[in-house]
Amino acid sequence: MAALSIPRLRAGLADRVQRWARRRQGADRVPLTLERRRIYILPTKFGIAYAIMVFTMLLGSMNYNNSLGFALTFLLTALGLVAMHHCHRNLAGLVIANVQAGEAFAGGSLKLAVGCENPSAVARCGLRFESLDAVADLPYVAPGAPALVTLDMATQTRGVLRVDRISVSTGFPLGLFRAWSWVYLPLEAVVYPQPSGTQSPPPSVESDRGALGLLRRGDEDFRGFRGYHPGDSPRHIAWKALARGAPLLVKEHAGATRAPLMFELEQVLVRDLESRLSQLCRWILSADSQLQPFGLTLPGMRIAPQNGPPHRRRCLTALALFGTEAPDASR
Amino acid sequence: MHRAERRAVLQVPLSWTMAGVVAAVALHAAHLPLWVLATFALLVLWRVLIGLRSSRLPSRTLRIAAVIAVVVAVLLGYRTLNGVDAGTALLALMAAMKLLETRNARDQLVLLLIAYFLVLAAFLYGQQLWLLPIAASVIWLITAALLRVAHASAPLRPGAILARSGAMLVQAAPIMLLLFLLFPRVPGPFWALPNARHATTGLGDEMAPGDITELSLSSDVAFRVRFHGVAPPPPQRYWRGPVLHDFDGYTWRRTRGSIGARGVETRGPEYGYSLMLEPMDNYWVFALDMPVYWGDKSRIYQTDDYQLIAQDRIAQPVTYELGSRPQYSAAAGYELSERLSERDTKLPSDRNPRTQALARELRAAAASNEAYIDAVLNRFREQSFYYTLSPSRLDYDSVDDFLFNTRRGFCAHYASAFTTLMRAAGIPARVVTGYQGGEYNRLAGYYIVRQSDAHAWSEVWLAGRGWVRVDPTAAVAPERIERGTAGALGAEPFAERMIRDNAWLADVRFAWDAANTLWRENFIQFSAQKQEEFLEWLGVHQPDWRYLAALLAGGIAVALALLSLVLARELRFRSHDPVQRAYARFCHRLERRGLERLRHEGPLDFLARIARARPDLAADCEPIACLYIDLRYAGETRRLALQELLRRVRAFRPAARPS
Repeated sequence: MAALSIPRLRAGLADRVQRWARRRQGADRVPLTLERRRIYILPTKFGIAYAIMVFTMLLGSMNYNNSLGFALTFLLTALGLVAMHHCHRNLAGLVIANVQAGEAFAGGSLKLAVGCENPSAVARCGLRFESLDAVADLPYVAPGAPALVTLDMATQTRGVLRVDRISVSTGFPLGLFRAWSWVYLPLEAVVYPQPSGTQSPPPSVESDRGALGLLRRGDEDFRGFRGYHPGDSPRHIAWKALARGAPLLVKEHAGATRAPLMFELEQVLVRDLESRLSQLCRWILSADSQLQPFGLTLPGMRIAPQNGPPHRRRCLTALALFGTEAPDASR
Repeated sequence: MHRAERRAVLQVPLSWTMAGVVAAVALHAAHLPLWVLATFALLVLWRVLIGLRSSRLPSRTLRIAAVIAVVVAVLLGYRTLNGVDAGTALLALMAAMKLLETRNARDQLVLLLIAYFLVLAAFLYGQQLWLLPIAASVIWLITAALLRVAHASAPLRPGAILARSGAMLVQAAPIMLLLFLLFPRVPGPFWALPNARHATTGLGDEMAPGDITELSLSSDVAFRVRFHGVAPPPPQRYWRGPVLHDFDGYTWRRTRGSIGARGVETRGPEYGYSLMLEPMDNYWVFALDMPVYWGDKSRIYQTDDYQLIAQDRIAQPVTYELGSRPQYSAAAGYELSERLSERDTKLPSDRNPRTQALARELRAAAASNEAYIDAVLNRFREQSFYYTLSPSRLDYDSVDDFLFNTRRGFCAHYASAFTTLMRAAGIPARVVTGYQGGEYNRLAGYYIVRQSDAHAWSEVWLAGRGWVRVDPTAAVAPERIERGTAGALGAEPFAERMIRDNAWLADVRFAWDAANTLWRENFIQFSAQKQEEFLEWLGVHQPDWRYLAALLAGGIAVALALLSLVLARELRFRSHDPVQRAYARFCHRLERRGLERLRHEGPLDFLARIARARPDLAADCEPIACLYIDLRYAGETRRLALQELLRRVRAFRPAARPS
């Protein structure tokens, strides 16, 4: 009966507990206060070792009928119980203020920033955040202070990475118990394809030039200043002028030579879809870093040339989700 | 990077662990042999040096070799690895060895558990009151180290760690007390107590000249006695210990006799008393001559030479209820049997020849045995015999040497010489060791008998009278019997004299002794029986274990519930600023009526929302909000404004529903 191994049983049990807790708690929304009801607590391995030691002490005290021995045994027993309450309290009332996923490429890491707050008069110590296989420690949160912790999650493939659950746990103060809380956030992070491939980008699309005259703003030759509009790249802001006391200005360049690029899946010469998407991803990243307007055409979808962070995100998301169950790249 | 990992830098948590372990071993400093302490200190020092110089930990081979060396050394030193002594030594040394390989938190946690265990082991050696604060500090330190090690990365100051662990121990104390009082006590032992022989002061089962002298210098308490009623006069306070029969010319030894005193008739007043014995690691119950009853007949028996002996070795402080009658004699018609008579008249014929000659000479001159005894005592009294604590060393024929040469001695010398003289004249005689006298603790109403009260006297068999006590020391130094050793010598140490002469200091000492006795009676000797008495006092009669368990669980649940409340209260944020506190209170009261101030909401926005949701409250809320803004943001500093705000917040009681 190889199927009945201990790790399997444990995994099965953990799964059942998970589902039970999920049903019991329901989905969460930030900001979220970790209330007493949702904090679970169990002894750690060290806690069990401690309990065995205390039990041995009890036997010794009984055998020698030693009152101070009894007192020590009972003090340590009581200390364990008190530590349990301190451990629980260390988590109770902690606020998970926000959770934000960063940008991630397949094979790289997804940074999940968890902001928390300690709206109490007691410092929180030794907090540990876990999600999937990522672990991050937060050793100390001062009373009334916020704190930020980043979970570094490994990604394998492009597409949607579902982060169902973040666990917050603590062994404070004596490491005898571990209290934890599960936060169920419907968090979906998009993992972009891994940028790779050596093919050079296709030449610019002349036919699109007239229609996109408005966007022809490269950074070849300096043309002059204009007022700042939200969305302008910080790289183009005239910082020196601003430092001198001038209003917020943006440097404009003659970008006549920079025609928008149009990337298409068909342009990539390799056969394999993932490699093609990877190549497109690399082109997009390089065009974006050079502030070159670009567009993207995938089977069944066309994104008009443009530039700027929202556009870049839209294109990369389209690549990430291409062919997956949610091909809605236009959102 | 790899090299750096292998180096063993002395990190802060490790220093805490070391401090905890060293403190736990320090509790054993008095009874661990010097080589164990020295090895422990060297190993710890080695680890500290490795840490300070960030060098490498010793190799695996070296460590294994060291462990084997330590085990062999303990085995050679103690001849066993079992028992408290060898176990403690091994535990201490193993803790030091563990330090040498300690790199991660797990190793340190194991070490701290060992440290807790060492504290328990220290209690097996003694449970005196003075140990309590010291042991408590050590437990505090170990707990603090546990906290520090479990959370090595938390930026906590030493003060914060000590405060937190101290608070936890204080919070644990009530639960400990509940467990101590209510946890069912099962009378042990479950496994045989290893035969640990500690070097305790006390009477031995043999006596050579000069033996008791060493005891006289010890102010350790042998036992305490509380008389239920009047106490017998000082000359009758003889506490009987081992009776010595066998004499080889130099040393007196105890012989095993049969059980049960026969042919004794007691009369006169009976004195009942509690005998609170300190553990002296033997079996002897020092009863006042002549014991007529003793608490537990199955655990204490009386020998044929009237000594009380406990069934089990007395390794813990213990209290016995006894009764004695100082006046006794042989029962009518009881004669000393041939065997017993021979036992107590035997002398090595080739030893102490001058004494034997003297005995024959004096007996011939005396009309009766009684007259002979008087003659011998008179000789001690009239010739130049001295009572001294520092007698010169005696020769092989010790009695000859004492009687004819040195003539300086202590109770052991006089008892030995007198008994020899009696036996040489054919009178059955024996040496009785024990204690004589006792100091009255006027604050607590009991007598303290110290090791310095150890004494030796003689008993002679007189036909028709039975065994009669004769104390030859009283002939030389009657003050010894009236006022104790110190009184007889007038040469006690300066500190002792100072305490004795200064009433205030004496009272302090008596108070401390009384505290120790209370501690002993109520804490150390808390047993199944005392627990029953305590429950009886609580009104619980003959509880079964289920009742006790329920009581205990209930008590602990209440204690923990209170603890939760305390901990939850600590969480609540309390500003030092009275203005903010008042506003928080105001918001809290609104929150209870369903109007929660949002995190981003300033006082004016909140006020506007209140006015929309509950127009009836707006009139009350508006001045509060305005005062708060003035005081907090507009630089209003007048006391009057603050008082007004406080008054209005105090009076603010929003109704549940708009009226």
